[in-house]
Amino acid sequence: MTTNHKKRATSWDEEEALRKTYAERFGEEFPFFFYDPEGRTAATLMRVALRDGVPFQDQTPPGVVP
Amino acid sequence: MHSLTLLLPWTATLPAGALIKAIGAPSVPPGGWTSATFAKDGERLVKAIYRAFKATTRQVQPTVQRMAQGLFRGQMEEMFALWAGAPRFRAAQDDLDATASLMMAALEKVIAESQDDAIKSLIPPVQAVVEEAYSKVGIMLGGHGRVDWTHHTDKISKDIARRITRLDDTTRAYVRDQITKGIAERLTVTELTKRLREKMPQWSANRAFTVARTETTNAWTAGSVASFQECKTLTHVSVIGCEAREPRSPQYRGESTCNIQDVPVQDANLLEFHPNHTGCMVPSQFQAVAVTRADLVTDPEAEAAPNPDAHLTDEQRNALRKLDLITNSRGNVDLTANGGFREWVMDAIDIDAKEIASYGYTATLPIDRCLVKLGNEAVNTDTVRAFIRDPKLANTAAHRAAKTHLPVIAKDKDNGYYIVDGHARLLAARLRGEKDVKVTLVSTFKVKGERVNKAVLDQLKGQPEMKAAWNSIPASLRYHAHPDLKITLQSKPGSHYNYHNRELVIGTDWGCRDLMLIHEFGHHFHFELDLCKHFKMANEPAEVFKKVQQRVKNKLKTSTFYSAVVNDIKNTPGFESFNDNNERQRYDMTAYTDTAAAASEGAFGFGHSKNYWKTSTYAGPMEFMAHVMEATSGQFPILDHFLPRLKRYGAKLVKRYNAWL
Repeated sequence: MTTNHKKRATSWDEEEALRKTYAERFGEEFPFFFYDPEGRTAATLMRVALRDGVPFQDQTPPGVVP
Repeated sequence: MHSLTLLLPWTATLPAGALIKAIGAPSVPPGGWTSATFAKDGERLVKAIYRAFKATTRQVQPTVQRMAQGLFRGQMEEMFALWAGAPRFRAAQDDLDATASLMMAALEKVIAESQDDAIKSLIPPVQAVVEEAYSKVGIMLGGHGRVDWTHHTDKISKDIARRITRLDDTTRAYVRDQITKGIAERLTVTELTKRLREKMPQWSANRAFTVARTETTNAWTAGSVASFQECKTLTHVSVIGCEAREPRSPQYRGESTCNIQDVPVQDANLLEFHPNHTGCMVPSQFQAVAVTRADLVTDPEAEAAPNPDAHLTDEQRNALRKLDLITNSRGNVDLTANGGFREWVMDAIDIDAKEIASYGYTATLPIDRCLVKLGNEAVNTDTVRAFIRDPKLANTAAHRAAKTHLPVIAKDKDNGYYIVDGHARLLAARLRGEKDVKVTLVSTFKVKGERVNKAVLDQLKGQPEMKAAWNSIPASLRYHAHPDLKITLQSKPGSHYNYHNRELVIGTDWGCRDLMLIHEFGHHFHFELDLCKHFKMANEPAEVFKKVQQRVKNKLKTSTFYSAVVNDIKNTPGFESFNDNNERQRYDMTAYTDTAAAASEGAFGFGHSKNYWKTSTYAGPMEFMAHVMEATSGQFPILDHFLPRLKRYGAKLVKRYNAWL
């Protein structure tokens, strides 16, 4: 196991709850693989989406494969 | 003879030898065609084959066209007679679809009943084209050109004649359209018949012309392919003379078969063409090694002696043929001139030494004759030959590996070494237009493979688990890494992992960084080999896709998909302790579900975001390839268990890519 839990700001349980809320709110799962130019975590992006009421839009630039 | 010519116009052709002379075909070089002689005289050869194709098909086409047109008219008249004698058409006229279907059924019945006689009458002209093609192309390539029953020209001709007589979808749609329109206009059967009869002459002439042109072309192709496949030095064929590359035509390796370039000759008979095909198949690549003229000719009489390899499959024969080229038996290749290449070959051959040893095939022999190194043991090519020949070993992993990894190299006495291997083919594809790539042994694989391997490991300093992950990828795949491959390790908490322009970006704080390295290298691999361009068409991935889709078909609802997959995994023996809060286990599961998403381009499964699949035409294939790489590494037990074919597919990648390019 190489998981570095100390650096996780959000626990898995919290993230799971966020994923569930996100899926209920927007009708689709939050992606597991995505590209965010600012390098934000999935939890951060889900919180932003839920706060703003706008689902996450993956804006992977052409040629980049996450 | 004159009256016979009138009766059988397709017989009025010049003898093959005279025609070949008349069209300016070059004489067969001493020792047969090779890449060097083809470079010199290939243009004349290709032009001569094309002229022979045109001369032969143009001669027979009008006959086939007349016969087909007569046949179509007869069929339509019989259909009208059936309509006239069937009052139920009128009775059913209020139900438009039912009436149209009944009328179409009459046409299908007529065609089914008239087919046998029509096929018999069409076989002779079609067979004439098949045999002319076999004979003329065979002579131009150095064969004897004699056709005998073993060439199955009657069967080929019958299949083609059957295609001429059958009702194709376009015709079916045309007739149905006319019927539907007529019924909607409240025409009586008599009026409808009259209308169709008025339109019929032009329509049947058009259809007969198209069918005759297409099928005489197909007949020529079938005959010439038989000759191409008998020519032992010919490796690739191309199609020329198509007026355009029809995007919706049948595909091969993901591209249209119109004017397709450099198809391996063993696949030539697998090519299918669109219904208006006008192109001609010609040779485009030969081996560099000259073989004797006797080798070029497949003479049935000369082959009366028992053939020790008669029981072998085509795959086994090909493997032996490749092996012949890298030994001293024909090409006089001196592999000891540079130990680097030989060592690279040895490294690249992933054969499990113990498995082979258990069959009693290992032996220690002088190193200068060794091509294959099995662990610490060395065997010579005779041993490998025996290994390939052994039917008991067919389909064992080691057997497949032996056949998969045998490289083909040859030495041209004037130009140095030609290495006809995946790498060289890749270069050829990149250089576009170069049929053979000359490479020196020093500057290619040994250097590339080892240097890159070392460079990658250097970049992974301080990351032992990532080094282990890198080493878990089979060497034969890993060595396709580009020398400029850069690995950027970032210490950021977010989702920093991607591949872009020969750079792998991996976040070092993430617990699955080693697994992600394998995934992102998968992207590098498919970009470097340009695999995804060919991907959608290839049968093997298509089958894998189908399996993926079947597995998850019942779990399509997005809202329940996640829990359904988790339950499925937990209920599978061996995975009872699966915990989706475990980061690595979850990553493994997501590799599985994202493969489903890749296969369906986001329609189901989960992993990447929905709109990611729209970012590129190849997003699905690209991710699929990255997951294939994960499967080959053995680091993903869930992915391996639920999609076992991915791993096998990954193992075949190098071989397949050799064939593609």
